[in-house]
Amino acid sequence: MSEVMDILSTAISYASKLGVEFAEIRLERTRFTRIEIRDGVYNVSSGIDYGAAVRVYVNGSMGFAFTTRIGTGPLRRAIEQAYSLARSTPGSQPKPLLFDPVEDYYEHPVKKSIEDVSIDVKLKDLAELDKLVAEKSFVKSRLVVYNERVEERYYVSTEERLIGEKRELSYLYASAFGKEAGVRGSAHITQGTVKGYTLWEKTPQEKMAEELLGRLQRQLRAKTPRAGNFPVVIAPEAIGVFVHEAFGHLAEADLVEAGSALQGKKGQQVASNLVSIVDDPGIDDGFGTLRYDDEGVRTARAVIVENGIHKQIMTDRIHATILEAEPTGNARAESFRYPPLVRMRNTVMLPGDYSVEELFEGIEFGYYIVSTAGGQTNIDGNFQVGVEEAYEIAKGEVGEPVRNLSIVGNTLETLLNIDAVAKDFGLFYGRCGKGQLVYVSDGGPHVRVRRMTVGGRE
Amino acid sequence: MASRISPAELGVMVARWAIHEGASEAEVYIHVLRGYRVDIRTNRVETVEAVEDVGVGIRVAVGRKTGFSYTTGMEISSVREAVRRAIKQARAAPEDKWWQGFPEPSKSYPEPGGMFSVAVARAGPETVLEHAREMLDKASSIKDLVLARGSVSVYTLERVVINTNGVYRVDVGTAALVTAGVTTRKDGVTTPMIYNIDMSRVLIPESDAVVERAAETAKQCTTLYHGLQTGRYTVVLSPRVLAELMEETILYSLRGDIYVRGRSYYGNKLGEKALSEKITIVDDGAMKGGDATWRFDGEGVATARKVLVEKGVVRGLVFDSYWGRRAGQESTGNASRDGYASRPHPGYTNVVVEPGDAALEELLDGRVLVVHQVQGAHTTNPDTGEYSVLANPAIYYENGEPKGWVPGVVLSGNFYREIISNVEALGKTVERAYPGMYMPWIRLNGITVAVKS
Repeated sequence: MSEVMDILSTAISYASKLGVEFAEIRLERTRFTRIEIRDGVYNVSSGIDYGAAVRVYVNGSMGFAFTTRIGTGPLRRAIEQAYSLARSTPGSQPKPLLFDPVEDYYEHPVKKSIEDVSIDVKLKDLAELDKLVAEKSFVKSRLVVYNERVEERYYVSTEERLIGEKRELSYLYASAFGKEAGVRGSAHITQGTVKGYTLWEKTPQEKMAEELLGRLQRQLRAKTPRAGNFPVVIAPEAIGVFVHEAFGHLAEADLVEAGSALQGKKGQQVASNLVSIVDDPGIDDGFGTLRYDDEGVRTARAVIVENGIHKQIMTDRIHATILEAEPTGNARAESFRYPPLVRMRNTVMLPGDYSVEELFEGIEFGYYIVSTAGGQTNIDGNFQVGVEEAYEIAKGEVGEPVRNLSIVGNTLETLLNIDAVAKDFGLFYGRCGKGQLVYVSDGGPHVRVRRMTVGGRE
Repeated sequence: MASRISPAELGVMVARWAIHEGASEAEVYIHVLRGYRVDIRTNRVETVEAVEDVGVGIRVAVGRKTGFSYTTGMEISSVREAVRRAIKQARAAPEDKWWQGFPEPSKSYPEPGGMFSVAVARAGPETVLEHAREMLDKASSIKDLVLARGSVSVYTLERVVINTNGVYRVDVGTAALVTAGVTTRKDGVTTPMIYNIDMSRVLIPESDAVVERAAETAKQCTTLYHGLQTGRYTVVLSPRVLAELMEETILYSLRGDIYVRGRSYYGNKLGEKALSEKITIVDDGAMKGGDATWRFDGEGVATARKVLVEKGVVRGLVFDSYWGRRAGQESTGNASRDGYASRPHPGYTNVVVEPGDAALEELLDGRVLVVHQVQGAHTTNPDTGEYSVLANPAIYYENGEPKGWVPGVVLSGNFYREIISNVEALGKTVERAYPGMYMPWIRLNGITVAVKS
């Protein structure tokens, strides 16, 4: 590590000599392994992503360059390139927010490093899951994907910030396609951790297979839902997607500036007073658990909504300046190939006081949304969440499974319509795309929404 | 020094090392991407970027076991390490009984033309910035418009594929891409973000026109229309919406790997009519000037034009060499790669849905919802074709007259079924829906629409 820091320190002092107003170098070394079992055929891939990104701010313009050759010479050339890009194209970009000098190195603790487990063991563990899924006659096709990455990130800037951080991520995705009596269906499950090789400890193969197969079977027997407006109870896995997709993106500073539905709403009520939403980089075992962001800023909890009132937005250095908002350390990049954007980390709704059972009481007819296939929001505050597993609610009881629906609405209207928040909580793992993919977590409790548009077919 | 070796020379060396280290076969893919990009965010240039992404992907076989590894850059030591890693993985992996080796060189390769221009290859950051400024100028000339996101990029990509069966291919191409996302704020109404793009292999597209097109759609959303009820409607989908829904359903099922794995909706319908007779779909990797045109695919197999669906009849699928052999046929030149970091897999090149004969007035006849964009197409279930997406925006038309934006409209259905029996008409012209996706507007009847009460 000290060798890398020496190279970075030498390179950044060169940037200082050029007379830039601000410069930073972000060096990343990520080791990946991916194991795929596609209907019993194994594919193992691995790679090392090693490179450094340079950003230089001068004349109201930000220049960016990256290199896959690490050494004082190539880094100097990248700095020169970013510098000449910025200098030759004067602009009106405000100066990024600056911070005090710091020296820090942090390694996220793991129970058992994924690098200490042999590929044979990993193959065997995955094969066990694959076998359990393959056994069922209604399963016609299946896929198990295991991804792991060891991320080392180093950062230096002309502010004399020297930072290093290391963490391990592993992520499992399994899906199955089935046919029964002419009906087709498919389902998926995911699991993740940043605590090393602990996936199977968190959810053993039997449990994972049982959940996946259960979801698939219910899909095969599900009926078509009605289209219209109904009361809805949303389970933790789905509320996580809702909180991230429908709401979180609206609180990203770049979208707030561009006119998102949260623009100008600070201090106002944007949700029912039962609702509190945070983007928390300190949650135990989250994919967005980070000490520093990709601009070398110490991460902080962003309290987006507290008891229904909009408090904070998520910022990077530039938007913290433009919007005069607190720095929260939300700048993240997919890799050294990209400049960072304002991104989420672990976005969750905080639990309330209700028991889960109470949420269903008094619902004459509605839907219970358990898991999703993802969602998407637009800057105007209209969201869509595609549903994979859902049930009817009839007379306060969870009834038959339904398939092919989505829930949509205007995010703020929906948040105001939440009339009960349960005390349970779940955290989930995935990746979010905003031009670049980053690993995030989301979650929350069971929640009841008085009325929501359900896209069904009848 | 690694930098003095050409990518093709390095490729040959890598293949030799792999054999020397114990591989029975090896394949090397090298990707050298260079260019510039300017990002716009909220009416301002955010970053001026230089792009130089170089990497090597190595696939090896040891008998019937395969491994893949990659590395960034072209440093000899790290490339050698990647070769060793790939072989180590191949040795650890279980045998693949279907493995039949890497492809042989194709008998001939196409000369599509229109995929390289010196002007684009030489475009510097100033030129790119000039186009970005034209977008900003255009945006500021339109009342209430916010250019929330935008970009102009130019790049040159060199691709090299070499394998130990004699494939030795080098190709260089250029491209320029302009993207814009705009919103309009008027009388307290924020319109949805409207996206538009343009792309060319040989010149930088008119960037202000991209903003203008997006702005025109956004303007239609500044009038709201209320009063639609949940029910069945005739809808007119934009080329983009058609492309997104097709990608999640029909194009999924026309992939060779999906077919072999028994998941294709068209699994038992090859040679049969399984879509509306109005639908003809072509994949053409050798289309002159196409966004995704190259002389060879990710495994060095010649690209070609293939009719996948002809007047509703399923004629063919897209295969790489592995899945082609599993189906007992040749690769169709459709081995696709996500840069140097992935193994090849069956994918598409330039996809064209042939136009129909409907004029604009015919498409808009009667009471229709015109859907410019949808949210959540990626949540469609490709195995069943079931989708449930938010149309944002959907503009309600009566007899060709736009009545306004209807917020919160959800379209649901089964796209495999609707593309058989609900297609009324296709527009006369084909537009670029996305890079490499060329489609007309389409009119469908009887689509379930849920409207916010």
